[in-house]
Amino acid sequence: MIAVLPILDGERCQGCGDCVAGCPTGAVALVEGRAAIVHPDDCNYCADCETLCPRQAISCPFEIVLGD
Amino acid sequence: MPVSRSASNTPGFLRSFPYFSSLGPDELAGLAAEVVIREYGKGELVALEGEPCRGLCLVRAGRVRVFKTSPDGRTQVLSMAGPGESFNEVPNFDSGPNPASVEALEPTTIFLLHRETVLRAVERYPSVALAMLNVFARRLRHLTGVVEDLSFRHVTSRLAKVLLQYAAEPAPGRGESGLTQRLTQQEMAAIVGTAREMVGRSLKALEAQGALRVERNRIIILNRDLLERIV
Repeated sequence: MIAVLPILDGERCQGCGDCVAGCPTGAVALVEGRAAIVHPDDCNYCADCETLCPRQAISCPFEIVLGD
Repeated sequence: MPVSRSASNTPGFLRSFPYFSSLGPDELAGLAAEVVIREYGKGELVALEGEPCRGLCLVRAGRVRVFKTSPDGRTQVLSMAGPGESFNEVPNFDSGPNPASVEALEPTTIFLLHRETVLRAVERYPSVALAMLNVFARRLRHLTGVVEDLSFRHVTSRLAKVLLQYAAEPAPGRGESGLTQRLTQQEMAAIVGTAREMVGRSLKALEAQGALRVERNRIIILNRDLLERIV
């Protein structure tokens, strides 16, 4: 099963690299000047990239559901 | 931000609002002719706090959040509005500036009725005035609840309340309040009135108590009773 990954908005991203520097697992890198999840298996969905992004180009939404 | 004049289906859309539901076809057509349609992209500001009010905003499609910003950049969400809901009523009546900012959370279409048109409709049609009062009363109740939460509940308690509220929304999760079941931690922080890091800590605390489990992109409420007691 493919893990859910942060949502990147390529139009909003200006390639500042804050998310790359702040990602604790090195899952994010700049590809052609835009942020991309280059190591999806390493992404633990901690949402640090969402917090660091000054352009709100990354979001990590959570589904909120009632019990199992 | 593309702008256009009223579309052919505008009278029907206006009638779906409690403000205008009792008006006849001629009155609706007259109002519809005054509507200005504005399109906004995700993240675009629809209204800025302190700026002059453009008029009454009716959401045709998309979703917006109404929020205040603190001097250090933190935001407090006051309400959300989705299709069939309205915002920015107050400054139409007190001639003051926009009391809060409004941002499009997704591509959004707004039907704008200028202040003069709104005031004319209120003067002419008592049913419009009564419906406006009804909405004002509902908003006042909602804001009283926001003040109560911020004054008397701690962050974990406020977060628990938001989680219960959102979990109760049926899929696709868009009711009158514009709530959806998917929230980022940033959005939770803005609704709760705290920093994102505090949301992370509160989620961990609630998880440690056995109230919920965080699974990658899901927050699963395991013990609803416990969460309600925390609220």
